[in-house]
Amino acid sequence: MKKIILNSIAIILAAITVFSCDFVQNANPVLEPVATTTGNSSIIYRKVLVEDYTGHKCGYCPPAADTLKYLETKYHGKIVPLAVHAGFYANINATYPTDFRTTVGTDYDTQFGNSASGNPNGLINRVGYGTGSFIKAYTSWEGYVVPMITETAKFQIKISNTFNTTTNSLNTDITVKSLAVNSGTYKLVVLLTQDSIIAEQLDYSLPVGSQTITNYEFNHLLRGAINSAWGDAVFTSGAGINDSIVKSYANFTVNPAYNASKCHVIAYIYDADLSGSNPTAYEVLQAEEAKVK
Amino acid sequence: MSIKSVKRFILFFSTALFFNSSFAQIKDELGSIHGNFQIDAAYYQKDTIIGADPGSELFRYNAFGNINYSKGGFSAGVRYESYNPPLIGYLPGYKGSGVPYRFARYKHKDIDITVGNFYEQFGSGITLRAYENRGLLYDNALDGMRVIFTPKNGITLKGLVGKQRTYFSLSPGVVRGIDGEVNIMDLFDSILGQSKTKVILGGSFVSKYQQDQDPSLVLPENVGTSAGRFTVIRGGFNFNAEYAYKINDPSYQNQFSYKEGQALIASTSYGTNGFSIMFSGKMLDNMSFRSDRNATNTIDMINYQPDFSKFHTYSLMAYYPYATQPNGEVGGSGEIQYKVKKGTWLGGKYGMDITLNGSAYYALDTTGIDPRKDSVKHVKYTTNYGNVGNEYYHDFNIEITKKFTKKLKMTLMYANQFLNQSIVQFSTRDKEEHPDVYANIGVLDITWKYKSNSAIRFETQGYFGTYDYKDAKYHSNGEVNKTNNTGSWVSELIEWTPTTHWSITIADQYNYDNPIIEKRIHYYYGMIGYVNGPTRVSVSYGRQRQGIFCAGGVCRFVPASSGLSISISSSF
Repeated sequence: MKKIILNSIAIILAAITVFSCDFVQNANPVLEPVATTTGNSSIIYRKVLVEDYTGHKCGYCPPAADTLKYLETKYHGKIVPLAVHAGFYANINATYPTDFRTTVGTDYDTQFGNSASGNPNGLINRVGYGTGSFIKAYTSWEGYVVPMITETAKFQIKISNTFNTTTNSLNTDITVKSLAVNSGTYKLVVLLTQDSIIAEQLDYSLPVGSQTITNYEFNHLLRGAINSAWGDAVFTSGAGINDSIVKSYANFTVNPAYNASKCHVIAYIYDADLSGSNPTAYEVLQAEEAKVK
Repeated sequence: MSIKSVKRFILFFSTALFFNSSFAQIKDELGSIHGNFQIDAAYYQKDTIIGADPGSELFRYNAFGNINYSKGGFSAGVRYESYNPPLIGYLPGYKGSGVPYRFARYKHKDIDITVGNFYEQFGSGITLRAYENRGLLYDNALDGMRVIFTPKNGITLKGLVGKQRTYFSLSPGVVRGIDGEVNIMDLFDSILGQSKTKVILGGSFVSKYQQDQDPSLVLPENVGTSAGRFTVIRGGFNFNAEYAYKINDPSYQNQFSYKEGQALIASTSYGTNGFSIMFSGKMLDNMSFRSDRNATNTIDMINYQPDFSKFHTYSLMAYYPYATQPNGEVGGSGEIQYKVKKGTWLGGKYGMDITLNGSAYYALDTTGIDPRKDSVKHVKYTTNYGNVGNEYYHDFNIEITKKFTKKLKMTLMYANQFLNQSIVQFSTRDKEEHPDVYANIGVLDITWKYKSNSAIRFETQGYFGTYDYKDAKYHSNGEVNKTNNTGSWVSELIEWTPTTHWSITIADQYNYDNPIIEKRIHYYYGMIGYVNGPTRVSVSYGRQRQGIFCAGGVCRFVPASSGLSISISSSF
């Protein structure tokens, strides 16, 4: 009997020792000099499409927008930010009358299930489609972004825009160059975003009674698709190193209500092999953005 | 879907189930096979009156099948699941098909080993509870290995390691746990072993590991929770209590607070012939424990924070259900059941059952720490355990069931409920759009068994809600904002069971008192059900009202829906 009890205690103590606990005394990391990831200018790195699925009636969403802004500042030129307003919290009412919903945004939200999973949340290069970690809480975004921006890109995208201010007409030429031997099925999507829009936003972090911010600034807001939500096929029979293709989209009318000088063209290329067995379906392989004018 | 294809669909599944039933319980020297199947499918339609818009995927279903084999101490099983896509209101992440659950288990004398998937609970579940609830599509099964060791009668030791199910994949974190339980009296064969009083002591330790990938915070990669518990049983009396402590566990759920977590849970009960009494109490502070610190909704929960409020079956009693607040709360519940004896003035010929039930939950009394003074520890708040904060919820109810004659039975129920809607459903102190709700609810349920195996049941319910507008928002025209107020409801239901196999139900919920006149809508519903042994088939048509489902700072809007539903289940 005594032996059993002693053995049991020994097993428990051993187990506790194995499953150690990390008591954190200081939550702030020791800052180390940041190694420049783009030190070798001949290497083209992967740019990361960071999508924030949000809504103006979503009181928990402003911290996600703040995270997007923080990432954009810290990893400037290495990420392509996109804010998609869709789902219940993007509906309009008397207090939130500005409609930020778009057909393309609703298509993404329906396909990926973001608003049905609870806003706010986001996608990082749309990695992990069909797995539990596909939709990501904003608190985890940076952890996913950091390793991706040091990956060598499989494609390079260049955007060339010409904008006619009289007719509000945009011509955009997207050059996609294969930087490796790519044997899959790829599609190119071209979108329009707008910065610096002032409108109402609900924010639960503010004191009760003043949670509606009337002059909230919305950035990277998805305004629509220049081609379509799921894009045009490029390199239909695979691509070799330095194979290049140009897709031109002419006479796209930018809504005169949008301030064209605050608008961007976003282009991304994704894995369009959507068969169930493809673990990288929908994954964005390269993204780029450029000002409309 | 045309009527023809609906018919074909029903025929296919019915045939499949009856075919399986014919193989019921294959038992021979090769071992035995058991299983069960269920499919819930719906064909949705657009219904502009209630605001139901199912989008382009009109046909949705939740389906699963378990097949288990056992022979002697060995058992093994698999579960196939399919949701393409899941029914409206369930997490879209489940979209897909696969075998998320498979296991092999071997028991021999004092050892019991499981490899693959398993469910487990330590104590009350405050350190670890892996379980499934198919109705909620909640499944946090572990995938790994478990050993249960019983070295002596009265001692049970458990050890496990694994990753939790996350939709059709696994959580990024690893869960490790041990649990020990000693039944003191069973250890002794002497006089102590024959004592009428039983004392059970237990303890558990659960730790999770998840890599820190955050460049801006030092996150604990190993987070442990430990707990101790005891139970005393004597005759009809039972008392049990458990205390748990969790080390710093910053997560999306607690807004990356590094504060420790604590829980105290206790319950006592006494039962004798015709009378029982039960009280439960709990204090939970920052005890949400998940294997992925960034998980939201009901995903990757390692432990279970108990909910003692009454689970109501009448729809309007459950109009505003309560859920444990994951970041902390204090409260309790009590219930007294009394059976009035036959032959007394009140009891009459058949006796009468009376149940009194009550529960109330409050916020913890917390104080936020000035971020400038908290820049190193990131504790975020302190708790004063000597006091409680605002009320979250209460539900006081009485239920009386009386059988008057052989043919006539009646249930009468009344409840008084309060809901701090802004905190409980929306996790904000903002009462402008989400006023507190007070409700009085009544139910009358009469069953008339007009002949053997045939009955008609009438159910009438009334929900009379009032809303506290003292903090409400006013529109520019001076009118109060009533966006989230649905006023009062009535519900009527008739259920006819002509034979033991068939039942027909017609019901209507009417929002007769909605402050917005256009929203005074009937939510009608009809169902035909068939039961034959283990097989159940039902076809229903009707409307489901919209709702908001919140879990820990993330709110999920469950839209209104309308359409045809089919449910088939069977087991063998």
